[in-house]
Amino acid sequence: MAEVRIPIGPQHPALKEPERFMITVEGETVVDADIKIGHIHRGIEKLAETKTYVQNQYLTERICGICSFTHTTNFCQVTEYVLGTDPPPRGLYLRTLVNELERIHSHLLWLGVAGHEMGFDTLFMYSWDDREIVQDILEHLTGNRVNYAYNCVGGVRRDITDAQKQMIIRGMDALLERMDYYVKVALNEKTILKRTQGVGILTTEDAKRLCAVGPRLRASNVKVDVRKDDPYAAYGELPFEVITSDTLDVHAQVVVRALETVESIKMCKYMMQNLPAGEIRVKVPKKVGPGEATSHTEAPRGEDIHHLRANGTDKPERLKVRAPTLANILNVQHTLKGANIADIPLVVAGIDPCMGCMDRVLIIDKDRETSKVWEKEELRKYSIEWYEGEPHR
Amino acid sequence: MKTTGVMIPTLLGRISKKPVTVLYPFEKLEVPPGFRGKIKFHLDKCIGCGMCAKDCVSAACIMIEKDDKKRPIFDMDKCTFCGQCEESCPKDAIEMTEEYELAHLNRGEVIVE
Amino acid sequence: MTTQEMVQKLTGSLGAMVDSVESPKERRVYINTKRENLLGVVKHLKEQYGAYHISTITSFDNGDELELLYHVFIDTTFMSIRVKLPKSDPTVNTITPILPGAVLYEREISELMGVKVKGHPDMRLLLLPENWGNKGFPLRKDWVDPRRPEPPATEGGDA
Ligand code: SF4
Ligand code: SF4
Repeated sequence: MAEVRIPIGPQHPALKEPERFMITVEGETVVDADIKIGHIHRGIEKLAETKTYVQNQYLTERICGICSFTHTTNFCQVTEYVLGTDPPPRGLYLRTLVNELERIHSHLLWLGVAGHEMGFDTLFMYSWDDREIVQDILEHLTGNRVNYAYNCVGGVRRDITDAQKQMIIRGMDALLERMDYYVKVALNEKTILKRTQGVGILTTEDAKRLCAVGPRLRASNVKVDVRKDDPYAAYGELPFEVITSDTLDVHAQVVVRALETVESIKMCKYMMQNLPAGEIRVKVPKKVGPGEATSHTEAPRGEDIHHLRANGTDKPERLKVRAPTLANILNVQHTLKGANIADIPLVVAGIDPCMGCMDRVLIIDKDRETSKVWEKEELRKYSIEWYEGEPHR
Repeated sequence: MKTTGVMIPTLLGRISKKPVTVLYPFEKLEVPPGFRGKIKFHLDKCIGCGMCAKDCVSAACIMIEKDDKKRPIFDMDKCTFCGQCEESCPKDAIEMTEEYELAHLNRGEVIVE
Repeated sequence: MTTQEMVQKLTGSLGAMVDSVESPKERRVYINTKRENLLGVVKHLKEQYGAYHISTITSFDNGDELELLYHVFIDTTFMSIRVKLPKSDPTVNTITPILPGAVLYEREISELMGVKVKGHPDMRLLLLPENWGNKGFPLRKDWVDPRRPEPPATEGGDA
């Protein structure tokens, strides 16, 4: 059968962010995939060199809309490392709390998106409804739903009241019940099993070789989690399990993320019951360095790295940022090989891409000299219909 | 046990409940206390030190000179609602209100003086 | 193994391949080496210490020289291998045969910082647009945006 090249993107089927895949197919099967990113490269690393440390707290927050807090945690940590400051324990606990709340909301969001991609919109609606519990808590705690502006070098900016504490405990109890239910759905519902089992398999060796990170790596049965391996903030004092799965496919990612959310909920409850008293932040000088430091954290999507070199002024000499999705691009490229066209959206959505890819698929058949542009919706419909039409698995 | 329709009980349970969404703009959700909305500026408290403009990340807050007095103005078009100016101000002249509806037909209307 | 023990073990086993091994902080190790020895060090880390995960490569512009930091995460230790290259000849060997995960990061440093990576399998532009041409390397300190040579002066830190 003749090989056909399909450019996908620079708009994306899973999320609304640009990235381009060049897919080579033979019939229904993908034989090669090539990736071009950078369509939304905003030059933040360069921009950070022109901003003061105070301003960079808010600039780094805007690297990502979903895991914004991880980036500010990282930035505040590198600055604290260079300064040699230790934030007070209460500040660290609150920082960890928002990090975990963010993970819960990000994983619930992903569960909805994955449900949508597999044509299971019921799951999408209800998981996003339950996500509102976390969003409300975040809004009460920090003053905003998305970019919280909660972190600062030396601690956090707002203290927590008793009423908010009770709200978090109540919310976490309600969510725990809902998550038990979602775990049951993920393990039993045929719609999910049929679309995800055996799709997008990444073996343990390949995951290690291609340097995958986060839930994708743990779904390939590698027990790596920065929170455990290199504890930062208050993670060293918290009890939690690192979730892995040995089925290696997209279903493993659903299960890993669902169980991870349960762990996060328990951590939030634990933190609320064991919150240390005292100050929430220490005053830090405006001029930093000279010196350099690296900080990495476990973002909802995987390992996130900031490296700072300070030169003694109030602006950084160089700030390097590596967001988790860049590390996961390589393994998507690898797992797409051998997949069906209908599985492309799900495999790509599997890593929870945070700067993404495809909205349009151009299908060119060299033999028949026809071409057709597919909108993302059509690709999704096609994939759902393809599965309805033939019970392939 | 593999089965379909695991979510049907949830679906049915929802029938008797209110919708999750509200009919904005006829109904509005309440924002919590401490929400960072449109800025309110108290000119009488301001001493013109410029700390707010120095720390503003998006240049939404800039210093101008008016009636022989240095003072900031705030362009809500550019503001990221981070609240840093409120924190930096030594005289508490800046306050973040709970107003979040900032759509206007004229750009000048969203400049806070 | 504590970080200090790790530093001693590394100093012993890497021998003449490195200039120094230091640890400013728990679980952070910096290995200073020369570019001729980079491949040897990475290979050694992989074979003797089980390194498989390269986190990223950080590049610096120090004026006359470029500096690279290869961040390798082993178990609980975050290692950074430091290499310096003269700006007149910024070539370095690719480490992709040893750690294939570095392929995107090497493309990144080559287009943003102008490091020439010798032997890299795929040197197309990754982040910059395909029609970038020779508009320079954006992360170098002396780079000016060709589309906007003079940034408008504004107050409040916007540049
Ligand atoms: S809230 Fe933030 S962005 Fe807005 S004016 Fe104040 S400092 Fe500037
Ligand atoms: S920081 Fe406060 S007192 Fe100083 S110029 Fe701004 S508003 Fe006025």
